[in-house]
Amino acid sequence: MREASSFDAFVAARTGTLLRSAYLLTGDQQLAEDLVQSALVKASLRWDRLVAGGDPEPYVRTVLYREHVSWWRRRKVAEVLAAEVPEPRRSAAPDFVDVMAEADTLRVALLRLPPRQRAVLVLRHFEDRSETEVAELLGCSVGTVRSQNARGLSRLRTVVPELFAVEEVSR
Amino acid sequence: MGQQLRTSLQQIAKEATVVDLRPRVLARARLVRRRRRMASVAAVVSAVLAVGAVLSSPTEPEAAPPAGRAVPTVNLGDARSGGLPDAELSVVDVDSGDTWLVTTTGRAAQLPVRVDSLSGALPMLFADGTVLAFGGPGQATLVRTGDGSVTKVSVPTDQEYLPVVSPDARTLTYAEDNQVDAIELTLVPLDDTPPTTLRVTTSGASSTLVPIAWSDDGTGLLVLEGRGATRVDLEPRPRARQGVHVKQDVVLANGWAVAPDLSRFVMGNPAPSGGRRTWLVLDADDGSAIEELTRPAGDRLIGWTAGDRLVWWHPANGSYSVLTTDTAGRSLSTKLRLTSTLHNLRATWTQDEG
Repeated sequence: MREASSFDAFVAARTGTLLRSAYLLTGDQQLAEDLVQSALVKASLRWDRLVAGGDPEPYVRTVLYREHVSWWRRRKVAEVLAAEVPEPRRSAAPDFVDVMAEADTLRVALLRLPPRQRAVLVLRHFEDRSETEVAELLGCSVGTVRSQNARGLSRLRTVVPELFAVEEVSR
Repeated sequence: MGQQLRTSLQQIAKEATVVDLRPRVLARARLVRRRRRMASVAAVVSAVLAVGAVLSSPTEPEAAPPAGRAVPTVNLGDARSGGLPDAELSVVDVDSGDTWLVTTTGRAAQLPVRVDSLSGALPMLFADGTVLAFGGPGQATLVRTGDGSVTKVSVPTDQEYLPVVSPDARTLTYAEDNQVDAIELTLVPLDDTPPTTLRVTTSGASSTLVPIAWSDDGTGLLVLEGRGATRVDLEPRPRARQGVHVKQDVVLANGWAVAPDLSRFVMGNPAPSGGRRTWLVLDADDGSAIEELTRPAGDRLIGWTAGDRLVWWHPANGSYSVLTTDTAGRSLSTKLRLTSTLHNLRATWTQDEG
């Protein structure tokens, strides 16, 4: 019973955070919920071991990100969600409307990236993970993380240059 | 780096509606657990059905025993209680959970332990017949076949698995598919030394059954999957090689066998044709088929002896026989006949062919 309530508490506490990452990966509320549900179900089947080993969240996140890649392969989600990439915006005015517009463009651009690139960008720039942590989570080398990150950023730079304008000016 | 990128990502993430997933997750977890139990039971049931099909159909004539030697016949109803130090064959009744140990010289003993909930787990006879290991959620049961003494070993898992004892009877191993991307192989020393867990990259096919075979010299292991295998070297330190994938349609549900030097393994096709099942001898280095043989559909493959003989559990005419063939299915030899009123027995074999 203690294990059951511990799992219950974990789900209640972490669902929000996991859903936000999953939403960035999938770009869709329903798919994000399915992805988080799938990761949590797998964790529940081995909950005793995960708790005994310390923090269960790394396992849940590993499943979430790897499952995302395999889902994408199976369902070709990106083809459904992002048929067209919007034209690059040219204004760099940093007001609220522009931030929202950039987010819109970025959302679509993200969905056009291959799943591993998307996962690397979300882990590096949203979750603020180190290259080593990302490599561990995705089960690849640090070199792969670096190259996927560079390619992903390069692709975004062509679509949403405003996101990089301030950074480039400040260099 | 990319502060504005981070801000935009946070902006997108905020669009996600946080919902309470607990009811969905708990209901789904219950369903997955139930399906896993059903899948394990289905493996046993399919074997039993195959046995029934063969019992009701004509079977091939058995090979005559070598001149001067009568094939021993053992009646399980006459088995005495207690251990059997030189057991070569373990037999379990999948319905009652009763377990017998048998030698090919015709002696039999019933064990003082019962497998109350098999769930597809087969008792594995190992370490020169001196130890019988049973799997179970969170716990493995080891039975010393000499005196029937029972040792319980806690294992940190709630999954189904087939525990295997090393040739020197000092290490218990089991493997578990983590349902994501790997199999976790755990070696539990049967003293106070902490266990070691290794990640074994899968060949791409997961399976309810994840059997393990030790090499006869104890230096390596082969972890089998639904359609693949991975070699693990234990010296100088445990290390898993790249797994191999089998392209042909093969399953583990009807038995399997691994060569004592781990160079080859055998799996069977899931669908018999004309009352016979095709078996493939596969190369453990690349998963390619080396040889192909057929056996009656009800036969279970239960061992591979040092003399490159495959050992089969063959139901026929209300009794069971232990047969051996070469790896091409030829040179059939009968080792033992078992009589029993039961029709749902399964077996494992150890020892070289004598």
